[in-house]
Amino acid sequence: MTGGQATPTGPRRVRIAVDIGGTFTDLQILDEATGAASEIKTATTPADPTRGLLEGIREGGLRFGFGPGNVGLLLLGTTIATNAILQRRFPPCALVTTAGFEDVLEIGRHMRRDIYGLYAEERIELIPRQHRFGVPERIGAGGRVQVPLDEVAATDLAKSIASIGVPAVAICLLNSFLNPVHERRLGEILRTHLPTLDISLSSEVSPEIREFERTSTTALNALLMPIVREYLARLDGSLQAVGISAPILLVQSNGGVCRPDVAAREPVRLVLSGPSGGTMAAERLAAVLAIPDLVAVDMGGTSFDVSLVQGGHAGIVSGGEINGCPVRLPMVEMRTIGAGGGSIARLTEVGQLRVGPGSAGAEPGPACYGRGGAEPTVTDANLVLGRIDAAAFAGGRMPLDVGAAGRAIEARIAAPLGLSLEAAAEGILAIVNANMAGAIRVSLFERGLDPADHALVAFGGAGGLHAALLAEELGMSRVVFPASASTLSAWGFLWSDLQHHLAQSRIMAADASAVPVLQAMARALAAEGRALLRADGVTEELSEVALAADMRYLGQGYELTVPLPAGTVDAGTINQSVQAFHAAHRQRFLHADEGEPVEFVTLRATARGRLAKPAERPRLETATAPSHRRRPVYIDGAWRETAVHDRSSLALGARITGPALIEEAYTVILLSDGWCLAAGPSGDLLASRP
Amino acid sequence: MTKATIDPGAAAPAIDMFTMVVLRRRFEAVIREMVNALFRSGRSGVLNTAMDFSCCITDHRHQAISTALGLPIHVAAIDLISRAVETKFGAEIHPGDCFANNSGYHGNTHCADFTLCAPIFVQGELAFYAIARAHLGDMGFPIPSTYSPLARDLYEEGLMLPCVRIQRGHRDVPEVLDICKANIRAPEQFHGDYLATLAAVRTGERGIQSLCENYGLGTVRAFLTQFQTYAEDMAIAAIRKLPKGKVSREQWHDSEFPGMPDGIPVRATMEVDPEAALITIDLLDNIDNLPLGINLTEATVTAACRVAVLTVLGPDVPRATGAFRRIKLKLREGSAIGLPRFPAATSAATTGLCHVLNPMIQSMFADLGDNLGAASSTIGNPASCPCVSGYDSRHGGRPFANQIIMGYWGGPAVPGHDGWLTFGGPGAQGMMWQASVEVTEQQQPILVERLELGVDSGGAGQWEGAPGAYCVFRARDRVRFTTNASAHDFPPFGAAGGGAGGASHAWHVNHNGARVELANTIDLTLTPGEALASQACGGGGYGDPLRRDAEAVAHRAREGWISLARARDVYGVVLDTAAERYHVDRATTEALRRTLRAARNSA
Repeated sequence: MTGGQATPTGPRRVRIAVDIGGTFTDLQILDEATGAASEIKTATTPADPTRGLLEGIREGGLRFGFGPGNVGLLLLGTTIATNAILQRRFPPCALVTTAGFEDVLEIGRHMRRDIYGLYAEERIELIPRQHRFGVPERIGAGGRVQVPLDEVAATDLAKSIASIGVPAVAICLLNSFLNPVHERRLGEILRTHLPTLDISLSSEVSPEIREFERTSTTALNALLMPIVREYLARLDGSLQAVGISAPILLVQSNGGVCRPDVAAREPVRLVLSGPSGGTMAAERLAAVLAIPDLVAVDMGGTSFDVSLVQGGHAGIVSGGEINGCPVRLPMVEMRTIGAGGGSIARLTEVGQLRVGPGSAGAEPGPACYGRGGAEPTVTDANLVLGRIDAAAFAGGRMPLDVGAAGRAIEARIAAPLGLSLEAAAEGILAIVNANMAGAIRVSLFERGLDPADHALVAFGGAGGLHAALLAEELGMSRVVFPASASTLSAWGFLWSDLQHHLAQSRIMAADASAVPVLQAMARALAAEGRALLRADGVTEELSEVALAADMRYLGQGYELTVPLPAGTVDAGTINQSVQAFHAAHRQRFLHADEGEPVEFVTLRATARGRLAKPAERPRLETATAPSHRRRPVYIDGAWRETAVHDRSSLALGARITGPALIEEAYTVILLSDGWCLAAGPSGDLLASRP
Repeated sequence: MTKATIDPGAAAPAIDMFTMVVLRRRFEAVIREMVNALFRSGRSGVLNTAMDFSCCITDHRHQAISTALGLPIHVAAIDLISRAVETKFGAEIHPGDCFANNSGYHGNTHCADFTLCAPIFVQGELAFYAIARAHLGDMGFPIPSTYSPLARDLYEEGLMLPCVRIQRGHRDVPEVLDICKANIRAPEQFHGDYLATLAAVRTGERGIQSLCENYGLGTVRAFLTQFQTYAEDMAIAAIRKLPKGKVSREQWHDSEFPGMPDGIPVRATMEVDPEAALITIDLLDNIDNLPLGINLTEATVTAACRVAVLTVLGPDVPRATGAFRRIKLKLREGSAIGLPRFPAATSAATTGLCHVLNPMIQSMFADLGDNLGAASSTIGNPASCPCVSGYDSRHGGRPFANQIIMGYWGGPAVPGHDGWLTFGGPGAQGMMWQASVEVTEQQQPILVERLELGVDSGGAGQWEGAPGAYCVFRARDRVRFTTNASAHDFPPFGAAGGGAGGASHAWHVNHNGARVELANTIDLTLTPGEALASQACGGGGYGDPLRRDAEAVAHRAREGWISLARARDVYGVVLDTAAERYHVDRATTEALRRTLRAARNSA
């Protein structure tokens, strides 16, 4: 891999970042010599996503003048793993556990939402009981072997697995995070008998305490291995066929990138590959705009994703869940609720209005799409209030039916409630905004943060119309509308780095007695991180390894992650980390107890291999002729003649005061009263209010 | 949308529907924030891994705004807590106060539930109460348990805090904390749990005050009045759809009381009146208080009935005081299934009889109409959910006292759905988190040897009850286990023709592997190498087993949840195991089901 080193001389090189979404494949193309970034959007080809990708590169090459040989690096966000989990399309797989614990995956931890419901909420059965096998062995809580691995049973197991004919197996034994000896031996035995089997060991995929979460992560990894390996092989073949031999890096859930062979071995790292782009873009914006604390919101057709940037860094958590399956690997911290342009508005039996979480999706879509959708949606509400231009939707490719939108709202909401059409539509928007504001509040409050200290970054097709209203609801006074809002995830990928997250659980008192063990663990993790970066071809000066520790008060069940000071671990650094833990606990939970014993649970290392990047060229340099129209827009209970601007015509330094609409090809920005918007050199728009 | 600040306290105009939704979301966000503060920082395992706690807000008239988060048995009658504060302290309630209450005679659930209640003042006016209730790992009982089913009166239970001031002016009243620490085992753990619970109520106080600053108290109060009316309207609409009728029922709970060797009866009469949109539950015809810890408290008997009805009314009815107004209870003081008469013991009031009463009321709806009600879930805490205590030699003899929630399963079958595996009892309804084996082994000197589904332990039915857990704990040190199991003699009952779930059993396994079966109430100290084995009860089934889809029977057999014998003898399904794995033999199955039906009719 040579992607780590940009070559300043030689032929022209472009770096291409690709985000393959459900509808569109977005590309951002960075000229490594000039720092100019350009965007291309093509239709996604669901049957073979690579076709859409290649089409985008071909179009980009024609438009921006480069050929396959000029492609120097390809950064790819993929939904292949995400979709397999969401659609539950997996190959059959076996799970091996400690005998007596074959049901760990089925028991789970807790899956309730509605406490007065008696029905089980549906869960994915990742691996059926008939494919789960116990093997006699046991590692104790101190990491010592309590019962040796029964090698005869292990050999019999290989035969059982052969007889059911699965391509992949997950091995997750109790306490293997403390001592992986049995998992490794079992893996060897299976590999000897079944050389083509894909094997995932929990002690390699997620060596952390809590058997259910580790088993779920490892099982997902095993299930994804055949799918991702085959996808990557196909991708490589297709690129070679058109003459692109550039290295490929895949975007992981943590926003960093990894090599294809790493992704093939640990495909569960890719589960949030696509969505992490928005967060990474927000992190980049924090640097470009010098606003260190941001709330990034992505509002599309069906879902609303919230993530955070704090002190210039994207919020990363040590685990999360997807479609009800825990995945315990570092990922961007993201809260998702069912709210978007397609969210359906409905009245309950006693006439209470609800919006979402159900969505009309793309088919039939909102009533105004004219595809048979009869239920009113958020997009219909925006349309009847004049906030969306029916003729200009989706760059004019898809005219909307205002009459249909009005009829749906009138029949289903306004008439039953005895409200005017406009009041009903504005009510729908108030409710969806309240739902989204609630999600933002929880994301911030959980970390003891105040919305007023943050700027809101809004993107996604529906983000621009709701951002100012959301900010008002939350008491925020700044909103950023990024340039290339419609390909923002790809733009975020463009600036990513190689990243490896490593972790090791070991519960021990956080005092001087921990020095020898912690020191050894820190050295081992750091060495492993550096070795991984070397294998990526990253030079020493572009490599960095940062350590952090999950800590808690003795007896607590959840940990807070605090950074460990750089350098050798000694009594002083342990003391610093304990102080940092008390401070973090106070920030988050309003109390701390300096007299209480604190313990370490998990040591984490983040190995980052920086990819060389040019400085991005300013996008707004010259003034173009401003275009300026007016149309009636319903805001705050009245129709008002409102200025409408084209975003493409905004010059550097342009200022606009609300109320106003700013239109671009795939989205519209609504600026309500009291807001003032300015265009900066980066092309991003910053709105503020007193 | 009105968002302008209105003079606090002033009468406000009707709130438009959209502001209603916005304010409802704000209240829910505050409660969620309280929950988060307690969960992430709680010190004992029963809080931070089992989530055995709840948070709520009531207004100055003791109306609960949302009981949609937390354990049903904790929150459905949480209004009794702020009532107790008002009754006892009246005009002496001041900003910065906080009151501790764990007394069943002052509106609390049971002794181990440590409940804090802080008044919330808005511009000098007492407007709300923030309440957090946490089940502690220890409450200073004579034996290291948090339930004492055999206690003869409350003096044989834990430390009593009969609604006492624990903070004044946002500062601790140190004497009260000193008393707690002097009586509770593992006082540091108690102090950590106290701080976490306090953080929850203070988070609630701060959140509600900020909400009232934004909207004005007048608007917030107008919202609450309208919201409770809305909740009541939703309940009315749901009750109007139910069939009219009156049902009486008696079920039995295991007895360890020599005075009642055959079991303890639980009785109720329920009347559903759709025209008046009222459900009346009459519990007057029940036995007097027993010299046992299983007597119910006002909080648990009320919550058990409210939760039973709300589950039937469906998910759209807000879980708020307005909805509870449509449920009338007839209770008698001095009754075991009613209001306790001092000094009756009540420390097991959230399990035992409560675990029979709640599903019994749900099952009574099955008599009123098809596809209504539910079977019974787990009764009592099985031996896989023990209180454990001792000194951990791995950490220099460090004391430990905790309750482990492991294998708390046995969900009831309901019309259209098989039982939910990790449901537990009706007080939890699946809200408790199942303990991690690895964390359990770190926290206590215990080796978990097995944790698996008990074959055939779910109740048979058209919809099948969830199985109970088989679990083995081996001691690695001297470990004292106490439990309050039940459902050995009277396992969880079925409904609408469904069968009962499997019974609960527990065994002491000595060094030689020999097993001695144990009684429901266990107080057992194991020496290193000895084990406690537990088969927990399974949930009851719903509907006739002979009507269960034969393919569903085959699937369960294939997955090893039920035996081939049960498939054939109970479900009348014949599986061909020679050919394709567990293929349903249609013709033989239909013939067998006819024969079984005929035999049943002639019997």
